[in-house]
Amino acid sequence: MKPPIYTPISELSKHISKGKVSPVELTEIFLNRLETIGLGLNAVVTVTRSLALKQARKAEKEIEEGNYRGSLHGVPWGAKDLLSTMGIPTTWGAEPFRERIINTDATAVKKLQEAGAILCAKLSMIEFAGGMGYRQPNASLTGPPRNPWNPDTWTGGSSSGSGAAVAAGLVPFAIGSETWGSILSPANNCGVAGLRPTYGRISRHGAMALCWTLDKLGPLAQTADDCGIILQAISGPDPLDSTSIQKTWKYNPRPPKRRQRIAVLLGVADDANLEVKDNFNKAINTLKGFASVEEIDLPDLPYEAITRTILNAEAASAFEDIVNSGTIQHLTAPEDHWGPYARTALLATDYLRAMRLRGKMIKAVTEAMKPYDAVAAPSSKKPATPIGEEFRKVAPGATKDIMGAIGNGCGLPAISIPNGFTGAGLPTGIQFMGKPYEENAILAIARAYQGLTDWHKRHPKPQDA
Amino acid sequence: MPNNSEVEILFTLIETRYGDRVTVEELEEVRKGLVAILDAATTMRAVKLENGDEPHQFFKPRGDGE
Repeated sequence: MKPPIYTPISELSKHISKGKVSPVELTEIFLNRLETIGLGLNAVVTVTRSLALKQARKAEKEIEEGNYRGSLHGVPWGAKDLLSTMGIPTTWGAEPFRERIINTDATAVKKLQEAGAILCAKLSMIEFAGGMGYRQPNASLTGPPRNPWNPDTWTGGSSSGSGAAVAAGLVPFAIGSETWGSILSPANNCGVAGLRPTYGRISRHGAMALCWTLDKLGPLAQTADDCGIILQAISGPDPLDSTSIQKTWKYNPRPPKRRQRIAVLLGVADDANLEVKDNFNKAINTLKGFASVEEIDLPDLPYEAITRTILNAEAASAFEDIVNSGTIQHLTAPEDHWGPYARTALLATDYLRAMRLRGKMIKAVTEAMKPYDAVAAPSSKKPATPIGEEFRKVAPGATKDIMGAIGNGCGLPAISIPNGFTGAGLPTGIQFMGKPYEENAILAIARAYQGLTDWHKRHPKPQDA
Repeated sequence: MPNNSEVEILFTLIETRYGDRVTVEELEEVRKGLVAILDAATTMRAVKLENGDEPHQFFKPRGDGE
């Protein structure tokens, strides 16, 4: 049997449950890839070899004895290095924390352990999940995370290693996090599926806080279907996170009985790269095969200013000690040595104004989205940028991203899946943003699109990776 | 555009706190960051809010009072 490097979880799990694939052998394959390809891409902080093999042997024994736990039993995975793991360093991507161990398992880590998944690596990330205002890819203790499609380009961030590891076939899936763009950006640049769930769907306990009212954890995987399987395993109420949604969530892989309705924000792709725009327009035509697509407009509100101010204010507080202690002077990106100073002068009244306007934003967006299952847009306005290039050439706060502002500001779920390639062979992505708590609706659209296209079945060539 | 005197007052605060840690060039970048933050604030301040428009945040006293 061919090594199941890029086999979707739904298929892989069938082989594992029937004893056709050994979790121990599978784990060895992925550990070897992490230790070779992964390190070359700067995608890995720590390979958890001994823990992984221990978990794999346990899974194999349980399955042999007829105690199969479900779809993730015996499946290797990687964690963004902001998820705490007992006895293993948790660096938050930051050089000063290279050896730091937080002796607890994050709730998401515990849930995956209970599901029988095998933790193979702590994956690279932008230092403090970009919370210090980085402007270029070399902002991680691993060095700049390299894109498996072209190592001279960036993976996106801040869940950089999570995107690269899934794209390069180093793990079947990874967990990342998003405050604003940190799952969708690497999913776009690396050509994989990335799901940002509704705020509160997955417990944040044991994950680094960047911005308490914007932070979300979520899966990156080969397909939308995989994301649904993973989300079911790690979602649910948690007494250790007061913002966790109290209802349990079940993945529904069945297609909906009615024609889906998709909205596109007026002019949302106007300033996108030409190839991104072209791939988006082609994807819209494909979507019209099974859904209605209509243009909509939103009321005039300063969406980006609202979400950006919330992020700046909460990050200033979350990292106050780290900034004031001088720890940031030892970070990798020179701009992160001084980047957070400006927001320490943000006024409390401005933060509260942003929180008051957030209510108006939620009302406006809820009203506009009411008739639709999802809003579609390019996942990013540009493909992966060169590894040495400053991508944030303007001052923080000036980047135009209305989808990111309303999606994260309103706590809405979104999924990014690949929708084509540029002439240079770099993937582009389309995102479907849904109503709160309705992950199944956006997963159904993404699944239907992937049923009609094969972009998700294309992978970087081994020599590229 | 933010008010210049507001920029200067808040910039002085930042300079007082962190001025000894940065170069002149870096301090100029910090100023640009501050202007961007105040730009966003200025845009938000232009939106009319009523007294009853409360912050959208989750708060409830601890316990089972209901």
